[in-house]
Amino acid sequence: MHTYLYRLNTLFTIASTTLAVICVATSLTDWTIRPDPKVKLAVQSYDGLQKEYRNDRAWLTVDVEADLRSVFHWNTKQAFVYITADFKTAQNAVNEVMIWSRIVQEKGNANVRELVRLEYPYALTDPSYSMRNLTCDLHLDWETVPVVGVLHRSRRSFGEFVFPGDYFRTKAVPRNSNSGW
Amino acid sequence: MDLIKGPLKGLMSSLGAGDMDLRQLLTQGVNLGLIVTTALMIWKGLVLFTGSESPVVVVLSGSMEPAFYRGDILFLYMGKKPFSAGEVVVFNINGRDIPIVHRIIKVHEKDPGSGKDDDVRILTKGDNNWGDDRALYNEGQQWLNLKHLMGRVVGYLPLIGQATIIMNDYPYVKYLLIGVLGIFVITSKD
Repeated sequence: MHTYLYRLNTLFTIASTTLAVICVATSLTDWTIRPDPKVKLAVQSYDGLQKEYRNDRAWLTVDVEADLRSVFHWNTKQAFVYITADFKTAQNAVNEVMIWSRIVQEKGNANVRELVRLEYPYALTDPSYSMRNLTCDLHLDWETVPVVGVLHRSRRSFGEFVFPGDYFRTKAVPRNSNSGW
Repeated sequence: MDLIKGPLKGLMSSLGAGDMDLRQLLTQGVNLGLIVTTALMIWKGLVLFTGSESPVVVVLSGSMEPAFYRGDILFLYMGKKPFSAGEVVVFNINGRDIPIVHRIIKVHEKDPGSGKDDDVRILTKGDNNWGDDRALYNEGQQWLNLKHLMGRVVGYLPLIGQATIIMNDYPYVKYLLIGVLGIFVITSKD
């Protein structure tokens, strides 16, 4: 009985140690790859700016071109690509809002081109009602989830843009959009 | 002593270790204690180092698929950096025991670094959920504050947490495993 158990125990110990070492080594190879994605982001139009129950809310169309094929390597399970807008207001020193995201699971789908319109659950909002004339930064971010190991996050920034000075809405804004989430 | 020794000897011999004396038996007991306390030390050390009250968690739901599946293991780190949109965090809603792993989609912060709890307002969403988490928060709760957050996800290990899930679903598997390991340690002779 003993010899059996001992052998099993030894086998299990060696197997799990080896697996752990391989996992760590695999994860370390992440740093040998220096991806150089080609990324472009631009505001195509301002579609609306309105005051809602809990916040100001802006509507934009953003043109995204992101070729993230180079971030995929053998230890990449998926890339979570997303756009964030960040801005300062008198009330809040930091405001960060995600306005779009895309999950990419294969290298073949990593060349993203899209005309982004804000859709639920993403909404560019400011709880301090100060979006008129507000200066805002746009970023394209991507987070890679590994097969095993460490999650990595990268960011490219695309300058500032300024919101119009008054509330308005165009036809691009959905008619029933005043729920104030 | 014989009062203890007698039954213990009987137990040991029934486990196939009848030739052990008391000194050896005590040594094994100390060994067992050492293993338990070492494990506890490593865990508490991790808590201290990561700043997260629960530095290793098992994913229990599919709300972050396809990034994280049920049974995957996540490593958390708290750190002093302010939380930003896009980070995957683990949070606990008041009055519920099970922590949730979701992604931050909004951050509003009055005075970064002040450490004041309700200075930071955070909204989260599961990658696999259609809507944001306001439906998940307590009634009337619009935001998460710092006190709800347990850490950010920094590392990922697939599948291994299945063992925990099985042990939680079938507790007798857990007792069996602990029993077998215990017998192992007590009867090992080096």
